[in-house]
Amino acid sequence: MEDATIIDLYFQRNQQAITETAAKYGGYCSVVASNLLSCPEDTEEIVNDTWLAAWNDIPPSQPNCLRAYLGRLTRNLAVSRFRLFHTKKRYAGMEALLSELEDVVPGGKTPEEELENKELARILRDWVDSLGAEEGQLFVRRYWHGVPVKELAREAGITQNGMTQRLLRLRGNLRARLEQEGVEL
Amino acid sequence: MKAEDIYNAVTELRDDQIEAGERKLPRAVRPARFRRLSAIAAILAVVILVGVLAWPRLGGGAPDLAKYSLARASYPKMEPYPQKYSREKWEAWKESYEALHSGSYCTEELSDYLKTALPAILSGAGDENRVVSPLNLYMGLAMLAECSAGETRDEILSLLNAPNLETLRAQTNTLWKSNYCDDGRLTELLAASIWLRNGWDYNMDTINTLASNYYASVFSGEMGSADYDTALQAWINEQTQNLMEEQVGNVELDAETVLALVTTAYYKAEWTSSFSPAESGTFHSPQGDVTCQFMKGSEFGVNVIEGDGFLAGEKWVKSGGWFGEGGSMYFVLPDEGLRPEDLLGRDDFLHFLAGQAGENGPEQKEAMLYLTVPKFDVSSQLPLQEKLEELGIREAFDAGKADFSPVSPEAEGIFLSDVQHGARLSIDEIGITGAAYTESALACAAAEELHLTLDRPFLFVVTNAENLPIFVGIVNQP
Repeated sequence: MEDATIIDLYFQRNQQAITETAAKYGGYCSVVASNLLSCPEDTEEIVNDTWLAAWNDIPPSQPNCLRAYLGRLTRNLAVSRFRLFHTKKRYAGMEALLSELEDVVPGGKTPEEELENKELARILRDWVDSLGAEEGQLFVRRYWHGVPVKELAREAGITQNGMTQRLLRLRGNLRARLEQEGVEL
Repeated sequence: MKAEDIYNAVTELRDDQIEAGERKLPRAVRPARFRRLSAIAAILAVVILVGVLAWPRLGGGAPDLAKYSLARASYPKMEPYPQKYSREKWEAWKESYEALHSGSYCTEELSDYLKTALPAILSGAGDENRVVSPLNLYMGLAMLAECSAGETRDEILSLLNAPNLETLRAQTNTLWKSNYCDDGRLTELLAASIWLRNGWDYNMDTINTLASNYYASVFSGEMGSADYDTALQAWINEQTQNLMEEQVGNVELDAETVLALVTTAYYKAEWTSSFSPAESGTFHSPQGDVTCQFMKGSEFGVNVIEGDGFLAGEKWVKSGGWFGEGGSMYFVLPDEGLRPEDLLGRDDFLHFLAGQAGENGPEQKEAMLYLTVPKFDVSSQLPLQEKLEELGIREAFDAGKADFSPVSPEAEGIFLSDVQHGARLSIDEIGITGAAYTESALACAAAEELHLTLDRPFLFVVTNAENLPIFVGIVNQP
């Protein structure tokens, strides 16, 4: 079914919307969730929560790209769950992701120095645009989709160590951009 | 700020950015492989180069070169580097990039040439600035070797560390390709031309070899005429985007010249992370304090070299397939009390210049580097005869001994009358116009933080993806 038709079902408050969404994007949201949480039970719950969140949000929301919209919901739910049940073993994917992103913000947590989330998101989008095609794709693939480093290395045909190095440079470049934009880290 | 804030900001990426990240990564670009690695009266070799690490002017129209042109070099076509995600375009770019950059050449021989030639060419700057391109000079000398024979050729081959002409030709051809890029992101070109004298009897085999192996354009005209000089200047300006206009105005061909070899280098790239807007500061030049504009920038995971008497820090440029794996610019600050020229006699520095830091040379490590660099636009015009004679090229300049018989059946009396090397290089916030890694990201996250403030005379080295120096210079007065 076309995305526009599925969204129409949400607007009509027709529960078929959820069935169609699950059929079309269940696999995709499961991959996003499992990359972050590494736990089958939680993945399933998060994906089900995603359908509920979409049901509650549309309308008023009217996503342009249903796939990306659902992925965002999944990510938001995943990080909320991580906050609630934070254990390294259980959420290895999220643990690794947040741990890597600590590079970018090594310390200093004064609330009044924090940039508004909206502004930070804008800087990040602009930064991704400023990267070369390959670098931008890698960043999104790792830090949005949560694809494991090993898998990324296999795709690019380089060693895992080489991929780790690339990601390190990428985060370093982001850190430099944030500093340049005056973001207190 | 917490990592989670970044995570949340990442979640808010645009739809198109998210979609692009769903596709599998393209295969990585393969880096270049290393293996053991211009009278009767006069022959004139003019070596001119330009480095643009900034975005100055582009020039006006060039005079008509066509009437003197016998053959124009045809450069490889490169696919543009995609600015937006497109697998197809990326693969097309990668294929064209690798076709040029996957050759191999002898790094050991090149390193020896660099360690021998660079100290001689860079020395004697005094309180002035000096900019040279060792690769450009290498190309010019290789072409000169093609024009020579006997002891004259042997002396040139000896300086270039080439066992014979065939090896040198293959090496130079690979070097040319690996230093050619025109993909809309990095512009790099080593151009060459041959200027002949109307009515002279040339050995066309030699001319054709130069044209085909060195991507050289061939021109013929009346030596000493103002019009032919103008054409020569126009060609140089064309190849260097008019950045050498001032110096090129003095380049003329003497009426006695039989053949001139002219090579140019042009380089233009952006930093991977631009500098912050410049602010005024004091630079302690040898002639007293001067006020200039300083730029600041930070880079994470870059190479830092602590050698005998100097500290060098790297800044990446957008080139190749990945930042940090393409070209770089190194800023080299001599220790307090040392002049840039004092480093030219130190092994550590020479190893670093030859791309051997971390091997036999000085210690190299990755660090978070905070750079403070004056904005500069430096140039120099250097007669090279004396320097080349010091380096062992003597017969070529001796009218009684020089052997340039491959150039012409009437070669007797042809000698090398002049070699000029002009260069200019500038940097600004946007561009220049170029890592042993431990194990984990976290280990490097705790990398040492270093500050490099270039507020007194310093050196710079612009390197390509293979870590070979395209430009080297001394800045005494930014």
